[in-house]
Amino acid sequence: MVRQVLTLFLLFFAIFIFSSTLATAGNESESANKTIAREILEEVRVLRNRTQELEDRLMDLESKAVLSEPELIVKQKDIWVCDDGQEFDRPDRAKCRDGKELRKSFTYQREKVYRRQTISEKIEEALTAEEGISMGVSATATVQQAIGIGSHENKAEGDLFGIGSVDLLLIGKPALNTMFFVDIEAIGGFSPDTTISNISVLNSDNARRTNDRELNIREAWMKLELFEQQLSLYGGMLDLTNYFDANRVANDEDSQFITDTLVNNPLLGAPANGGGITAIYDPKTGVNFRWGIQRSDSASTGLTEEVFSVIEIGYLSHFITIPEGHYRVWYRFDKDLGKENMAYGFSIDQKLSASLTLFGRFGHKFTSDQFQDDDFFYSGGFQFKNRYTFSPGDYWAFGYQHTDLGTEIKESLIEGYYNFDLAESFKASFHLQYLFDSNSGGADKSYLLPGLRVHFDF
Amino acid sequence: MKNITLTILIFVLSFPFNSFSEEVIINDPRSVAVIVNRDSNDLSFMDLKTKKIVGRVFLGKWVNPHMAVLTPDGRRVVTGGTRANRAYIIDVATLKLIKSIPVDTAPEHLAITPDSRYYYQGNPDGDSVSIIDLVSLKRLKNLEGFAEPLNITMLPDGSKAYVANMGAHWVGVIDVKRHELLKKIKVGDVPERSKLDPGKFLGEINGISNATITKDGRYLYAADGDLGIVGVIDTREDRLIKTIKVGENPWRAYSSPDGTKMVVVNNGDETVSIIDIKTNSVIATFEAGPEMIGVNFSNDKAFVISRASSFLYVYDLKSLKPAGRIKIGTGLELETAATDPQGDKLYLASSRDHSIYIIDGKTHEFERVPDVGLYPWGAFILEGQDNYCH
Repeated sequence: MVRQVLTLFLLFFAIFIFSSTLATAGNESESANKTIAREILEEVRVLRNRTQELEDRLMDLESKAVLSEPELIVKQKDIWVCDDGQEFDRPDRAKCRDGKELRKSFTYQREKVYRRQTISEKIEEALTAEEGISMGVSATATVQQAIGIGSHENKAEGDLFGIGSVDLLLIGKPALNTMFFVDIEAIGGFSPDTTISNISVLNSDNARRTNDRELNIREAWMKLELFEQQLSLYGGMLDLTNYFDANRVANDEDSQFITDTLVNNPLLGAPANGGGITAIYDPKTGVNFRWGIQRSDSASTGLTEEVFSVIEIGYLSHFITIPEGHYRVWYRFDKDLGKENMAYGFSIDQKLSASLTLFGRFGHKFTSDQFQDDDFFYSGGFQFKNRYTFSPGDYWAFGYQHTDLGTEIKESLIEGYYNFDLAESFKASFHLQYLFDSNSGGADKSYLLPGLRVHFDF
Repeated sequence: MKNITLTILIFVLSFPFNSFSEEVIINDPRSVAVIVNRDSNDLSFMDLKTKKIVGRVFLGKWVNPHMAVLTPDGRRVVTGGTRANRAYIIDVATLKLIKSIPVDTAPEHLAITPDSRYYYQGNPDGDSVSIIDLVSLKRLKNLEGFAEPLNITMLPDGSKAYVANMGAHWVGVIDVKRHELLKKIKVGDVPERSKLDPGKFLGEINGISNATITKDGRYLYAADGDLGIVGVIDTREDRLIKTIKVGENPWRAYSSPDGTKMVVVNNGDETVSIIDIKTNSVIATFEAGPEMIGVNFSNDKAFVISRASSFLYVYDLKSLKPAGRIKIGTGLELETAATDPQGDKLYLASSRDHSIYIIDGKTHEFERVPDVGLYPWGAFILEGQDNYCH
């Protein structure tokens, strides 16, 4: 009992001492607190002023700045619809009023996206948007001189020839997986073929010319792609040599060889550009199939009257140690299946290294005339690219061709050229052709033909 | 007394300590693909097994993120907000935005050091690389002197970083310890004849988009668009050892998983060049499609993404032959893809229809995962075989 009373007394005494201490300390801290409060108030005042200043600046900035607007995109979305027009975003828990099943459909709807673009990005987007028809222009001009060789009868000795062509290309994409193409061309001038009788065609532009210096629609066709774009159909006014007997290094008279028989196989015998259809099946696995028909005679009024038909199989090879090669075999008949109207051939280009490609062509046309041999043609050569050149982008090539017709006309030709890649749209090339062993026109002849070609395209 | 003590104990134990710890949404960072959605301004996280979106992190309006990368330790995701000029750091487990740090103008592609310590953010419009410390979460510096730095490649040992400049014809070498630009390595000579074509060479420059590193870290392959070449750089000596001519306007090189080949997409002539790393020569050139922006690998095949055509062009790298193409859809805009660590599946972002397409590398069959976000730009998978951005 005494102990408990004593404990209680001590407890109350301690509380009394503690309270007194607090009271004394309170008096001293009161003045310190007032100082602190004044400092705090001063800081608050400074912060308030600063905040007001920032708010004023922000308002000023907002009023002057160009406000960002969200971009508007159109999104395709799935919807579920009823016959009465009710539309739902999701099929679960959606019911038609008439109790019928919901039908899945799709629609387009505008949505906002908070995407910020700079002005230059907007301009670029507008400029690159695909609309309407795109146009291209290309022009080629060639100058060639004929230098007679040997003791042959060379009528064109020393003559200078010039020929030029201009192409206007129009391309449009009217719908998905379709393309419309028009090539309007004009060719004018004189090529060595006007004076030198030959079967090689010393300037390929001459082989394509219809009338001198007249605008001519060379091609006008529509392309449609089907079956996941594995099948391409071309219909209209076609140039069949664009689809058959192709070759990586000997196929383009504007940028590769000038001689027509080094650019095309003469025994393919494709008629002049005209109405036709071409189908190309290419599953991008290295094998492709091509088939084309065209009216054989430009005078005929229908595609079925006289038909030129060609089929081709192409194969992309990759033998173990050497790079890729393209092998194409074609077969054609002209007008009918008579033996004299049939021919076959192949076209090969094979890379041996990154810079060296070999090429070769062969053609055989049958004859039904027992007194006449079949026609034969073969050509071959090579191209160097980015090697042994003056500048990257340059390339040079050498080709040889021999044509042996059953009518006993035969000739050989060698051509070499060096192409300067001067600018993205401008190329120039020096050519040297040597026509020899030619008896075309009944007279033996041999010519050396140096030439210069320039080509622009935009 | 005992009752009072018991009452106090019950109160303490029932106190909500859990309110201080965040909810863990992603336990294993390798189980998700991070998808960058440019127009919805978020990152979405898709479970690789269920193919469902398990979480999103909204970064803010007008941010327009470009590329997202998981740090190698799997703890964080970082991304640059191209229109916000900021870098964003997100905690992977809780999917919380930890911090946003101001960088330079228009951040796009980035790289993380192998030890997950430093984040290098490229700012092409600012011509700089911002270096961020992922421990202190502070920007250490803005390293300047670049010309539209587009991609940054780290060495496997983290000692150096190589910066590809789209606005120039050189690759910059950064010392990662000192965070300084050490040297510039030119990948090729501009031909004298370029003076004849001022429209092309002074109008716009297509330089180097990426310096692609070989699997052993020994060499870099830097494709230069204007020069039409791939420069091979030795990373030990930091010098150019070879120049390989490829097609027109090459975009960049992509390394095959076995480390023997580089696949280069040439957008100028729509071809693909295959380079043999041993001989440093082009061993095959194939026709491809327009606007190629990425290559992924699976089952010894290269899958080349052609943005505008909606096709993936497939090439067998063993036989070096084309192996067809996969039509993903119609009128799509395919972006880039990530390949899972096993090399079995590709996760391809398709921006126009706001989807991810999961493509089986063996069968070529694919499955669409719609509505991943608005305008998905790319995906990233931790330890994935192929991770890149365009």
